[in-house]
Order: sequence, then structure tokens, then C-alpha cells
Amino acid sequence: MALLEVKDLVVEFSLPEGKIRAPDGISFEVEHEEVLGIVGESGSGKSVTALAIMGLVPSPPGKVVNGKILFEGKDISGNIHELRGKEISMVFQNPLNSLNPSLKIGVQLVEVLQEHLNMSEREAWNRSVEVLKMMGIPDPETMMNRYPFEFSGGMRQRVMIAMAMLCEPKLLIADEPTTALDVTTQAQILKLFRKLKESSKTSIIFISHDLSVIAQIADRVVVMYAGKIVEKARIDDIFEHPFHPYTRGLLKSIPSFYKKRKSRFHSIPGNVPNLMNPPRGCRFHPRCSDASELCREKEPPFFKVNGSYVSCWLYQRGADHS
Amino acid sequence: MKILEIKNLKVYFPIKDKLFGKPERFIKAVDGVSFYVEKGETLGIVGESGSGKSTIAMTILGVHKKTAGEILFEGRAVESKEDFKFLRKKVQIVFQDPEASLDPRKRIKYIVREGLDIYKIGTKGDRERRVREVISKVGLTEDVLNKYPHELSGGQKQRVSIARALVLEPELLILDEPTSSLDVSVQAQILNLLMDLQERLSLTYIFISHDLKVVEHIADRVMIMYLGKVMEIGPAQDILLEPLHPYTRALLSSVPLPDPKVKKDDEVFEGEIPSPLDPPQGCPFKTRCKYAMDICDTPPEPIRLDDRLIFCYLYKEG
Repeated sequence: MALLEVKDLVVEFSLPEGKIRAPDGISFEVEHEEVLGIVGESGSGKSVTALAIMGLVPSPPGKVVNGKILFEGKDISGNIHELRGKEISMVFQNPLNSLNPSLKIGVQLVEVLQEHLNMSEREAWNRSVEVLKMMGIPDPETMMNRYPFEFSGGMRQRVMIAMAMLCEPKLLIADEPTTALDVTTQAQILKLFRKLKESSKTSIIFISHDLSVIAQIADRVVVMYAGKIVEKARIDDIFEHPFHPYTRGLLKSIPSFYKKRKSRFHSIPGNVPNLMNPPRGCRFHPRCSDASELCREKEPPFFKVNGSYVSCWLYQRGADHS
Repeated sequence: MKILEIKNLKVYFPIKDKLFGKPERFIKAVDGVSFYVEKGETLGIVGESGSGKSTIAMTILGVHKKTAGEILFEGRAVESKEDFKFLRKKVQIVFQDPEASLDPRKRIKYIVREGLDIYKIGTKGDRERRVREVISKVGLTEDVLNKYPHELSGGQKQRVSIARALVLEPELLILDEPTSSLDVSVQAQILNLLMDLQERLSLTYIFISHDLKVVEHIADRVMIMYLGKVMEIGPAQDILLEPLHPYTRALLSSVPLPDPKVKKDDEVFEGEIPSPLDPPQGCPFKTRCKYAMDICDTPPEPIRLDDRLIFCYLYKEG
């Protein structure tokens, strides 16, 4: 049984201009001790998916209007507040917005353990120091008495990851955890995530807009576009033989070294559709060079191709099974 | 011909610890930087946050006051307020975040026209014609003219920013992380547009970015900065494909590659950028450099190797 199962999840936002659905009917699983990457551009619904799992969709305007989220086989919509922070925890993009600026780091860490595991203050303090050390924070005893502003961006993100890992959760959701960081710091945090992956039993959902970052950490990838999942595959497969035209376009758009100088970059023509009024059929069809009449009319189901799942009519024939 | 030359530029920001008297501490955002930009080329400026790359841009435009040094535009020193006003007609900037740099309450046609209004160029009809012209140059259609910024996508907004910068027919465009806030697929469109415009209008670019892969591709020369100082400057491909300075090497080894088989744990470069309030004496990189020596406490003189200048004691002239 998968650790987490998301089935047909739809989150709807009611805005004055109209209604937006993102994610719009997505399903995926997270296995035990695996890192699942979710990749997609802004507005694809990847962060909202994370918030929906955590039961944190801002309401109003947002609302989970359909779908089930099963954690260890049980529907968690009723008791997510019991699991949050203990069994499932989250790391956000900007650590400065997620730490309380007026409390010392130590106080914020100890509180988590006292709240979830009923630890005594002494125990909680020692455990916090231990986890900070694991996250590569130098001189953790002293750091416990510091305020968030006294930390650099990279160190704050380490503190956030420490806080998320305090209760040894079964699932850690990291939403663009390295996007706000400089490239050298990003490399350090990615290394830390890889260390966590090896040393703990925690499964990780790692959300990013950057396929290069996902390549460094994920076992499997879910590619999202305009509220839908377009492709699910193992990480090696996505890079070796991407199937969906969007995934292909995304991979080709990544700039690389050693290209002919000043040659033009590959780009996907057009813009991400307005989800207030999404295109009929496949949502990618207005930007897709392979689009046919069928793509304009009917939304493609998932076809299984060489172990990957692709939502694209191109693979209707030759698919193992629909 | 050198269109812009910067000589020993210093930009210090005072820290007000005390209520009265002169400030005693400074953030040395830019600390003795010299470089030039040739007409028609693209100079890339690369560095992590706090390296001073955006401060240089803002100082060239006269937004920040320089503490010391010289700015020469087309051979003439830029000193007075009038000098800067003249320069700003010839040097325009595109910022990272079009969301923040376009006035949300103004229509696109006004945003793009504003520069012409300020410099009182042409008649009303001329200005409107010029606006329509640049809007089509950046690949937008005229129906955006009556819209507000929030009605456009991120990529379209960045095209408007570029149109606004082009409306005055500048010689030099400073692009400060012009694609960092955009999605990958749109980023490529904007970069292609910038390369097309440069060819068609023979523009000169200063391209500020932290994305080494993009800089390697579109810059002719590149300047690598760290904590307000230059580490290495020279032809982009030499520097980014065969880095010599230990910092450039560290920076390049940190770039994640789109290949799940290449994970570079051993090369991950530890440590943090020191506080700019209390930067190390001498070479600012010495606290994280594995080759640091005693001599690094004295600021290194630039060493010329082929076409590049390196600020590092590991290398000797010739």
C-alpha cells in the first residue's frame, strides 16, 4: 500500500472574476521511502496540491470540491490537524515568512516537540539540538538562542527542515525549498535532502519549477500543466525518453553549457492558458505542434508507455493499456 | 569603442547605529570595481545575492550615489544631475520583476510612452506612433495598449518592460535578471527576443544574472563578482567553460545539471557568504577558499592571462 494516495483531487477558487480549478482532477501516489518530484510552471496547481494534502487551502476563496486524500490507506480530511507537523510536515519556499520573527529558534523548535510528542522541555531541547546538528548547523546550542533574522537564508532553510523533521514524520512536503536561495546554497540544501533521503525513512514530496533541481533528488516525477498531470514517470525515464510534448518542450527549454553561442533557445510557443476559461480537450493543445482534432475535443486519459504514464492522444496506439 | 567605462567604483551604504553624529560603519556594496563595455557587445555580470551586481546597475543610472570612482559614458565623465539625466536617455534598464516595476494603475500605452513624455520627444502623434512601433518590436499586438498590467501574463509584462526601455532608443540596455521571475518555457522566449533585438537594433547589453548557463550562452564577456569585488573578468566562454578562479569554479560546480545520473555531493561547496558589514580583509573569498594562503590577506592585484583578468594569487602573469 502506498503511503499517500491522492485521488481525483479538485481545488476550486472562487474569485470575483470567476472560478479557477487547479489542481483539476489529479491522482498520484507516494510510496514509502520515496522522493516524488512535482514539477510544473506557475499556476499549474503544484503548490495548491501540497496545501490540499496539508489541509491548508486558504478558504475562502479556495475549497477542496472533489477527491480523496488517503494516508496509510485512511481518509485524512477529518483529522489532518492531528497529523500535521507530526506525521506529515512541510517546508515552504521562503523561510523568513514561515518562522516567527519575534521568538528564538529554540523556543519555536521546542514548542513543536512539546505539542506533538509531549516531551519535557529538557528532552525537547536536547532533541532539537541534535536535529539542528544533523542539518549541518554549526554550534547548535548557541543557535538555539538566536532569532531568525540572525541567520542567513541557507541557515534559515536548514532550521525549517530541522523543524519539519523533529517528529520524524512519515511524509515531508517541500515546496520549492531552494528557489529563494543562491546557487551555492541551493547545492548545499540539495545535498542535505539527499542525506535525509538516505538516513531517514521519511518519504518526500519535492515541488519545484526546475527540472534540473528535481533531477538531483527525485525517484519519480509528476509533471503538471494548467491544473492537470500530463506525465508520471521514473526520474531516469523522464530525462531519457520524455513522452508528453509538454515535458519534451520543458526539457528542451533548459539552457545548457556548450551550446552554439547566441543560437536561439528552444521555447514553447504561446502562454499558459487562463484557467478561468481553460481550453477544451487537452489543455496543452493550443501550444502543441502535434495537436489533432481529437486533442481539441476530448481530454486524453492516461496511456501507459514503457512504464511511464502519459496523458496524450499521441500514445493511444502503442500504449500497453489505457 | 568603449561605450561605458567604470573606474574603481565604490558604493558604500552607511549604517546608522547612532542617533547623532556621523555613521561609523558602512556596507561596502561595491568596493573598487573597474570594467568597460564595448559598443554592441553583451557583458554578463554574475554573482550571488549581496555581490553588488544590482548596486552597480543602480549606480550607473544615478539611483545610488557613488562613494568614489568614475563613470564614463561614451568617453565623458558622468558627475552632475544633468549628466545622469542625459545618460538615462541613452541607458535604460529592465528589472527582474515586471509585477513590481510596472505601475498597476496605468494602462500599458501610458507606461510605455512615459519616457517620451518626460524627455518631451516629438508631438503627441509621434509619441503614439513610436509606442505602437516598439510594442510590435517586442512581439506584442496593439490590443495590449489599452490594458492594465494585471491583465497580462508574466512573459507579456516582461515584454512591456522591454518596450518601455526601448522607447527612447537607448544605446545601452541594463538587463537585471530579466528572466528570473519567469517560467522556463517563457524565459526562453524572452531571451530569444533580447538576442533578436540586439542584432536588429545593434544594442549593447549589460546582462545581470545568476544563471551561469544563460550567461555563457548570450554574453560575450563576463564579470564574476563576490562581496562587492571582481573575482574574474574576460571572455564568457573562457571563464565559464574553463574557470580558473576558485570562486568561479565553486559557482559552476553548484549548478544543478538536468541529469539524474550526475549528483555532485563531493563537490558541494560548504560555508556561507560572510556578512557584507564585516567582510574579510584582502580577498573576500579567502574564508571559503581551499587554496587560501597568508598572502590572501592583502587584496590581490589583477593578473592578466590571455584575455582575462583574475584577482587571485594562485595565478601569475604570462
